Amino acid sequence: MSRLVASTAAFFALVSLTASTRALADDSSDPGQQGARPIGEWSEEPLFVPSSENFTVELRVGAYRPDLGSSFSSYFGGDLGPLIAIELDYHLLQIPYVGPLQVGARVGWVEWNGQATTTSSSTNVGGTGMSMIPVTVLASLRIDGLARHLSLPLILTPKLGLDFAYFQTGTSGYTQADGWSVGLDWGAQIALELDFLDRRSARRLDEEWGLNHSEIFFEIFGSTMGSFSDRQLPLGTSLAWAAGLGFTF
Amino acid sequence: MHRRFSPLSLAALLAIAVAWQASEAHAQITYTYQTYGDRGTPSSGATNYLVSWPLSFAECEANEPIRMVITNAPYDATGVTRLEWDLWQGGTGTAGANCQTATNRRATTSAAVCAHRTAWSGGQITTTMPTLEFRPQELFPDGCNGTAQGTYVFYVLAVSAPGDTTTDVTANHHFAFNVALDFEAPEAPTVEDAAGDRQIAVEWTNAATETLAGARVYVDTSAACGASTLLVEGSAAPSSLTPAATVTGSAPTTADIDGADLGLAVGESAPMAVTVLDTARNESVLSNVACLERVPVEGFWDGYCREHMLSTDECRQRYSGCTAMPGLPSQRQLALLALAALGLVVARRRVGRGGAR
Repeated sequence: MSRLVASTAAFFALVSLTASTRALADDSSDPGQQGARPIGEWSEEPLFVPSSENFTVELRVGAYRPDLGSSFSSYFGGDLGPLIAIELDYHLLQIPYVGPLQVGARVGWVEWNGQATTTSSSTNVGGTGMSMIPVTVLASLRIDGLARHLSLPLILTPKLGLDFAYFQTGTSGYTQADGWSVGLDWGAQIALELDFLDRRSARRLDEEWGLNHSEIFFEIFGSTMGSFSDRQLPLGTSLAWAAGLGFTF
Repeated sequence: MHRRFSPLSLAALLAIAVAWQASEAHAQITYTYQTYGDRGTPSSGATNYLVSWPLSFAECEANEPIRMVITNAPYDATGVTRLEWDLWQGGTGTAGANCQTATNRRATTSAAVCAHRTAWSGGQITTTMPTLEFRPQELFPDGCNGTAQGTYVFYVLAVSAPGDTTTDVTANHHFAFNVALDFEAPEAPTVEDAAGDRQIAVEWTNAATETLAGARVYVDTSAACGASTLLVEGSAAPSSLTPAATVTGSAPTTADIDGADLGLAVGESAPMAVTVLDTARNESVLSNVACLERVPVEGFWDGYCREHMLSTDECRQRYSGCTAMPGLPSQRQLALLALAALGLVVARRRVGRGGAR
């Protein structure tokens, strides 16, 4: 656990370092972006200059069921969670006419609950539950070229990452087991950029809060957690989904 | 015509100003109850007619002090106009007689007159933020047996002569509070049989119509179900039994009990009963006596392990506490991550210099 925390801290420290380096490079290499410029001879109206885009944050909620076999279904029925998560991506490289290549991390929480069973004739003998905290380190390509160059407000984002998940399960009020699983994570996201609904408000949001774009998204994803080792619980899933709100800033 | 002030008129003005300063209206006295037993603090900081915790008969008899922190006490550091606290009872109900008024303190025939509590001595107002104590038997000199349950209003006056019945007291030199006496226990609930392994959920239905403050579950592990001599429906809770669970809340209907903590083995059972407490901490008589049974319970983990033909212990050993990346030292993980991040930074800077953005 401490190793994971140390690794994650080191990763974020390096991402912060690259962010500050990039900000310095932007300031020195692109003086034309500084301040407002007049539109023409007869106007002092400042031209809108969008703030720089460095990050994307996603607030996610969705359904997740690990591939844990028939016992999962028999105890938790159709419980889909939900999986609540937040993801932060840093725009590492800007690929012309395509969009930024991102690296980021996601952390979430999901819990499944059901009724415990007994061989006696008693009923209502308490509950059984399982919770999971998945952490994902991922890279993604945010293809926003359609929105930037063709005025089509759609963004496509394929993702690939590494999943770490901590699980805990218990019955009748006490914990029976807990542990970690690791695996690969994939995802495909489609987002509808909301700027076209009210471009003036979108610009104001950028001027006042530095939020360049807002979007709603839907994503399908999967994970192979636990499938590489027979000593890890197979917490992965062949298919799950998430939807939510995203912001770039 | 411009008229100049003479030194005499200036002196007179100064004297008036000093006098005004001396008689300047003092801020309203307020008070806050301190915790009382397990009650916590009731709504605080009010001025008049803040209802205190209702006191049960046992608490009234115990005579534990009700403490209040007073703010804006009319304290005179010079001692020239130093005042004393004076306690009066203004009758029953929140609309009892107003003891600020001298006539209410003087009257002796009306049912709503004020009665001076000479047993209580708040003493001289010596600090700006004193803590005052009121013991139930000082508030009710007829004793708990001789006082009917209900709500009583008390006035605390800041006066130069305690017991004075000739001078009205200004609003900012008094505060009032209520003390409620509740000597009736709530009705007993009805409890159902309960079963489980470690965490057994006991559920009951409340019969009391008043607001409750909690409930207690009693389990007699020395007897079999239906054979307890300690737990008898309708009798008082036995003092020899410690509650197996105590819950708080205005309408408690469930409590969790750990069967293992009670010393019950799986398959064993014991009789149990429930009582409820009202806001005065009056405890009801025992409910019906039901059966608490510790039974073998299975959950997801048991099912998953059986599905993989493992005992739960083998299963736990296999899957619990797995390291995130077994066999890979932490230094190597950090070094790999650092190298990867460095490579990305270098690549990013090269693209940036090339003007790709």
